[in-house]
Amino acid sequence: MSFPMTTSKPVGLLFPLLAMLFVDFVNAGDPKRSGLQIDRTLEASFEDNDVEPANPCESWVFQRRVTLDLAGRVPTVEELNRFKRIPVKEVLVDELLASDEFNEYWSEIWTSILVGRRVTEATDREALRQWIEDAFRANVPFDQVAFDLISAEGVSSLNGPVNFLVGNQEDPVTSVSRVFLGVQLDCARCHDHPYDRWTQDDFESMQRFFEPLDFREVSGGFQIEDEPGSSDDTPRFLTGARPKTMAWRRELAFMTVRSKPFARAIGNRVWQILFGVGLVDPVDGLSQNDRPSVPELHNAMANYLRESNFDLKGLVKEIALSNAYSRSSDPPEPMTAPALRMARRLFAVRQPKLLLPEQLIRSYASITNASPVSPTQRNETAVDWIGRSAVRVGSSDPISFTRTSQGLLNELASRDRSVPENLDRLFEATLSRKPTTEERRGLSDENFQNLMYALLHCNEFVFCR
Amino acid sequence: MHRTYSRRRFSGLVGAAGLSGLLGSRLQAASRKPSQATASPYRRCITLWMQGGPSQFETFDPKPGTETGGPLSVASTSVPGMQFSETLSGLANHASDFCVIRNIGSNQGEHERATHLLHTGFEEIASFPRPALGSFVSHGGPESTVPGFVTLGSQVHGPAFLGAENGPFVIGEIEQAKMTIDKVAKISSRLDLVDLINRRYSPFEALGDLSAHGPLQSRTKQIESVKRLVGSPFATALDLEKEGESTLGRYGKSPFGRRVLAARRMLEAGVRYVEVQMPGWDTHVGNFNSVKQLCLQLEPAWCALMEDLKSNGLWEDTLILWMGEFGRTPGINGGNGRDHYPQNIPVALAGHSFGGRVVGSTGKDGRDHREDPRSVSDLMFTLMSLLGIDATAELTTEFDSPTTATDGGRPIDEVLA
Repeated sequence: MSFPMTTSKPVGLLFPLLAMLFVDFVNAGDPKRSGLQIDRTLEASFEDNDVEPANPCESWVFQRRVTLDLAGRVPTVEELNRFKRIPVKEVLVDELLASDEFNEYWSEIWTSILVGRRVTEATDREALRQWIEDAFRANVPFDQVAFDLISAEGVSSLNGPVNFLVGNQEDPVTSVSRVFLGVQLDCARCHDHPYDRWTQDDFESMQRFFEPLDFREVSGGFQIEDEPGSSDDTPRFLTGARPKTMAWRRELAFMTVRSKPFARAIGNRVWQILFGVGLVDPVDGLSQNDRPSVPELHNAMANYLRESNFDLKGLVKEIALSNAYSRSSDPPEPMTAPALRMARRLFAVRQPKLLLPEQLIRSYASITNASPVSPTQRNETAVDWIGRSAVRVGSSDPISFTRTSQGLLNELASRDRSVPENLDRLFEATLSRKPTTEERRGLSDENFQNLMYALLHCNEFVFCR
Repeated sequence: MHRTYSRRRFSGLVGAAGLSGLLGSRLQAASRKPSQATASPYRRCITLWMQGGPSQFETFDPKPGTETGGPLSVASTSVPGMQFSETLSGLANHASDFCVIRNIGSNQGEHERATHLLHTGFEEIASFPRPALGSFVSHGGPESTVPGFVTLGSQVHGPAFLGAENGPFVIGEIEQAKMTIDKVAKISSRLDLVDLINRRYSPFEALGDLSAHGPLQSRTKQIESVKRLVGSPFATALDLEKEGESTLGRYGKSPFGRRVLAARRMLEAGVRYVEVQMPGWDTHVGNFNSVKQLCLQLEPAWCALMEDLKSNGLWEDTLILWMGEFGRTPGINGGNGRDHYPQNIPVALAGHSFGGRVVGSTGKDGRDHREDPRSVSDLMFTLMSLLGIDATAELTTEFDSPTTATDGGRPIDEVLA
């Protein structure tokens, strides 16, 4: 969102007015910075901590990683061959970022962040997802996206962003804080936060922003709109700011997207989607207790976002092209488990990443040339593969999920159809590489149908190196 | 910068130390398994869940000849003070195994929230998930190749901080679940090949110490447990064709009857807690006919279940629990229906220990429930006690908050005695 005067988005008359009231926030950040120095920042921290970074990964490993992260599936054999011919990372990343697959896949992840994977009657998940996909396609500044999500009004089936609050109507404060501020206010709901500075009073003061909020069941889903806030007992944002108008929720949305924690939380989420683990972990627990593993990088990403008009795709590109992203998951030398954990925490060694069910489903479809399924169906399958009892309602962290045995059972029972005709192609289609001599010797007598199944469910497939 | 960091770290430590001092033994007791301290007559439980809220008047608390009683007649039992509605006259023969509880109430009259309350004993707070009773039972049980907790139906209540392995195995369609298991059983040789590839060719072996690779290890463990599951008696339990025609007939060939039969087979296979859901009890319109129809499914299945538990040796340690999210109004509305009435939540237990008893009273016409009113927390505490779960244990949530198994519940002595 361009602040404040150049905004062309129809966020209402109120918005420029609010922007003027908060004009002192607008120029926060460091205007001298140019570009995001991910590697310089990380390398300084390796030195401080006496950690030796891993070597760069092989280029097919990079391609597998970045295709999984950006398009949500493993690369095809044709794509592998193309990248072998033209091994230019920036071209590959640009292509992926410009693809419809990126917009669709990232809209699915963000929908799960906002309202969870669990399907409920009230929430029109697909309307929300479609709206996010459109926003990604147009590369709408992400603070604008967040502003719209927090301040949306209307009917759930007609206005996608309304579904964020519809899906979190039991406890909107906690969801807004977790997703957009990276702060867990949950504890403060019942008592002062035991480790952090948040008090029950903070929670209640934040909660008052939503007091005028009215959820109504109408034909076409849920309608949300606000009564004007009353003048006594005004709410208070976590920074201490209070609304100056009666449009409390819009002011909350504005205070949120202009706050430093917002930029940090969004940067951290993007990092987590790409690395599997955030600089702050858990990702929705940014607080004084959970320090970022590399605080300087955490801040640098926040600054980058603020200076780039919250260009999320720009941040993805910066990260995907960094040396950090291309580091091998093999340690440079044998390490003890604690040393390896430390090296991973500092992103000196990549951590093998468990594929999300959405990535598995897309990959299977791509490998077996199955007809594409709708995002709604894909989510249903994802829920099945995680296990219904492990999937919750409301905003969540879809990247670090726990699954049930029943979920795995469902994954293992999934069908595969076509099978490539030779061993090389079978390996390339599934693991993005040719078989080793040892594998050729050991596995070429196996029935291909069985081998294909085994390759689709083995650790090398299910964990991205 | 360095100084700031260490100061923050220091204050963090003080905070943590202060807190643990404050909470003292609560934290120490945390995360242990519920102990078997309470004398435990029951090891298994089958819950018959009347989804929508069953009418107490047309089931276990009839009020014949009163303004609120409705048109149905009653069936007397051998137990003094215990009458069943005519809809359950067959069960009246088993009255001496029953404990009918008439003094549970809440103020939660919304379906979803009340359903959560009756499954977990807590009001729903999205950010503070609570385990279902079934998860407690599964958690307290020994490790097993079969799931500890199974739900036959569509309403799912998770394990919260008791861990994914104690969540329900959810079965919508019995045949569908059986097909999935059979499918994986058929390809178990492929799973061996997965295992071989993982061990012989894994690129992750180079990582050295695998203790740093929790997700890798847990996937391997979970594949093992799936393999055990598909080869376990659980798969066979889902095969109702193994039962003779006469058994199928005794349970009634209704969807509910088939579910109860499958549940019995699962208990025999070692499952500790099975919930069988029966939709249709939200009888705002035409209550009397609806309940009659529902009981035509409920009653034969329930009678057959009790008969079979008595002959298969499980009766001595199996608890049968019947309830829904709330009861229904004494007043009959213009549509000949009854509306939500959380003030009175009918609960019926059947098991070897009860000897036929009625706990609490709703007075002459079902409006007076003031005599020793008990809460859903009290019910939960009591059910846990019956099932050998230490309802007083201190537990720890996944976000390290100490908590209790019930929301301040107290035992209902008349049920436990």
